[in-house]
Amino acid sequence: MIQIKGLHKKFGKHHVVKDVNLTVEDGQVIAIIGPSGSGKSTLLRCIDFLETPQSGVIALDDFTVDVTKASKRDILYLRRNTAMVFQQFNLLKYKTAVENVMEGLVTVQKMNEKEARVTANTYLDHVGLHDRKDYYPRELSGGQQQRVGIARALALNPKVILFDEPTSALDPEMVGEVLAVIRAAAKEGRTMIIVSHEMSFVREIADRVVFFEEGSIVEEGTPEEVFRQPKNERTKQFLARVNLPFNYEI
Amino acid sequence: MPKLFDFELVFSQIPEILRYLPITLEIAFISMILSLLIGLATALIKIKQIPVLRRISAFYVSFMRGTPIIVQLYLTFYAVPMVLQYINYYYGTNYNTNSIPPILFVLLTFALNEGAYNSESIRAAIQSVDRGGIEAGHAMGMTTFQTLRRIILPEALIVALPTLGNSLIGLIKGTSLAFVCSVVEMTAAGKLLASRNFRFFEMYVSLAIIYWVVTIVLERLMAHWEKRLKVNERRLPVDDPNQRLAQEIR
Ligand SMILES: Nc1ncnc2c1ncn2[C@@H]1O[C@H](COP(=O)(O)OP(=O)(O)O)[C@@H](O)[C@H]1O
Ligand SMILES: [Mg+2]
Repeated sequence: MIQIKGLHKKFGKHHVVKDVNLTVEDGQVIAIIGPSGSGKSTLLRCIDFLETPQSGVIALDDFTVDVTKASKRDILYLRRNTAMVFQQFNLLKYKTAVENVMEGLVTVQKMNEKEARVTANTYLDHVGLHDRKDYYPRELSGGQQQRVGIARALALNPKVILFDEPTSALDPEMVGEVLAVIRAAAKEGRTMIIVSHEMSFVREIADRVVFFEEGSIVEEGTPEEVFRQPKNERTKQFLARVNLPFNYEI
Repeated sequence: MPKLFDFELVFSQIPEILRYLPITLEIAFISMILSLLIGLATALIKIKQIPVLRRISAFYVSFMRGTPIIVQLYLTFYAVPMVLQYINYYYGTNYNTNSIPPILFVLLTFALNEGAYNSESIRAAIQSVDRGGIEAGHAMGMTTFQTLRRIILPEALIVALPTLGNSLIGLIKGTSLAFVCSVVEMTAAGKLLASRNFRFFEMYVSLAIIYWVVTIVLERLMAHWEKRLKVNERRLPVDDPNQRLAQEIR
């Protein structure tokens, strides 16, 4: 379980995350939707301290960190028990697909090379890249790179995986293959927080949807509640703007 | 007419001079390694903007680049024994200033001098490393040192290698100044040998040939190493015609 309480993040005077409270139970998938620039990435990045929040509490199971007092060890604990899938993939460009997946296992989890390679291979098979293991990122398509990114996250076996717009940098024809891999991970019972603009996907896999605007959670509920009967005016406007034919789909 | 130029001697004396090549190479390689450590430290101080050290290292780089190496050699040669004498005087120690092997002055000066130049190329190389990869390292819970060792330095090495290779070649040629500290390396030995028969010109021709060949060999080695490190940048996946085509078009 991951729990965020009263989280604030400012960049100088710019208040980007304002008093966010969010709980994700084990095995749940939470989707965060909202206009760009609303602070969704910043919220995710605060969870593993890629950005340092100003105040709030982050708890992973019974490990609780007051962010104002977070020590190096606390930060490493949060980072080692969460994994991030980035919009721009962020693979190590001088390592092959399998080496990218092995890196965290060997360096951080101290697994021996052999074991790590076996594990990495398993996860690459899992995301459909059994024939691309020894390719370097630049030899892979965007969709394939992102699947390596997801395999890397899965292999670390974290308590929660954070996805920051995992398909936004992809050509449209590659979005499907990446969503399929995320969908499979959700079915396996992985705990995930996903920021995404893929509304029909979000609607399909999320247990709960959070509508985020100007740094705050404006509305939260099941996909049915948020997409069919949004209570908040801002949510309605946003959904109208992304203009999805909800009533015809599925 | 007397023999103005003894062509045969140029080659016949080469084996004799070559006995001193190890000293030349030793000075060059040891001070190169030290200079890489100094350069890395200086580069990190500058990148991390560490308060007081930043000033000191800027002063150091400026001094090393603003004064001739021969002057620096003399300064070390006289300054180190003087400092030792002061230490002896004030702390009642009993270091023998004459027992310092002269080669240490040479190594120290070359390392400091080359370190100042290398710090700039190392800094540029480190700053060229892809932010995304570093961020991925942090996100998986690597410590600062692990990110440096596993992600930043391997990538920076590839970028800095050509420049560092040139600096090693410059260093090998620079070692001929070691005579200032009364170290007999190849050039100094050559001069001594030539004073037997006063065939100085032949000696300098022999020396020129040796330095030139050593430089060419090193250049080749560097180019080979660089190619190996960069292998993924030009490797064509043999089992995938589409990828190969894509690379050919590119
Ligand atoms: N490192 C940063 N420094 C300053 N401002 C930032 C930084 N990162 C994000 N911001 C600002 O914070 C706001 C929220 O950004 P972001 O979290 O990326 O939004 P989203 O992911 O919802 O599009 C934006 O106005 C952005 O300009
Ligand atoms: Mg974003």
